[in-house]
Amino acid sequence: MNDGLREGRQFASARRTLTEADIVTFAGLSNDWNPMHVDTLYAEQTQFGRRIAHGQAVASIVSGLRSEIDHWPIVAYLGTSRRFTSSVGAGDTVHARYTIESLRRSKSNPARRIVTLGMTVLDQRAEQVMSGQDVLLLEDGPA
Amino acid sequence: MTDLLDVPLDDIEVGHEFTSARRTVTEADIVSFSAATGDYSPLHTDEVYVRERTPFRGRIAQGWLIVTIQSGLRSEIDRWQIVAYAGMERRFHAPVYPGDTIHARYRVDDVRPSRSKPDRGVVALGCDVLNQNGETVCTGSETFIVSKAAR
Repeated sequence: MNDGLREGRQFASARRTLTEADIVTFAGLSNDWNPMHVDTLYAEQTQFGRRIAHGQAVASIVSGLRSEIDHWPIVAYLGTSRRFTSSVGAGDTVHARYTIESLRRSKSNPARRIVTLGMTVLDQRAEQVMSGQDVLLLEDGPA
Repeated sequence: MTDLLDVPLDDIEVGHEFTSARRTVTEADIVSFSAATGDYSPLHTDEVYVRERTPFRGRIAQGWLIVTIQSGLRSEIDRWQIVAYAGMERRFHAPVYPGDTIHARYRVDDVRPSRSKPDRGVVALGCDVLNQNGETVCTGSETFIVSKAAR
């Protein structure tokens, strides 16, 4: 199977506007009601000046944005890291850019491959709001 | 408890360990998370795909769902005067299935003052998430910026 994966390949995800509904939904899903996400009076006095989305909300929503990754034969999600470099609030529109940093055969199961992705998340001003890495286990194919 | 925020940076000690509350991850959590994020990967939504093409016995929770649920489990962190969430990392060691009950264990790995802003500092935590059998489902770290002055 040739699924087009190769080291150095870059691609972007679809975009999505984060909304007020996303922030409240994530507070409920996670039970994280920290006032910087749900208390306008508190949040206006923070360095952000407004309620901001949970880091996990932004990372999770980005994980669901359409991209080439949707077509990969994923067996498991092995690991992730994120640095939150700028805040995201309701009305901000984000997308991710990915780079395939490495593609190799699994040592424990050579019929499977491990892909490491570098990623950044940008807002509508092209400001980076997040950066990180994802590591995925894939079915067999060229590595 | 979440709105007390009465623990400033200097009250957080390196080496301190603590445990979060528990929570059962349900079928509803997985479906709700797909709906909230748009992550409809077959690992989480297609029972046939999972059984035929992965080592798992059935649909599993999204990695980000585990991270998200962990972040809301009641713990000492809720009282910290957190200014910002700076970063995280996770390695996923075992799947979480609907019906599994998870909790987190934390250890304060590092507390250091900010170089640029003297009113705050950086707290690095190591974390493990365990299931009802004591099996580690993920390990990782969290980095918070915490204020020196309680509000």
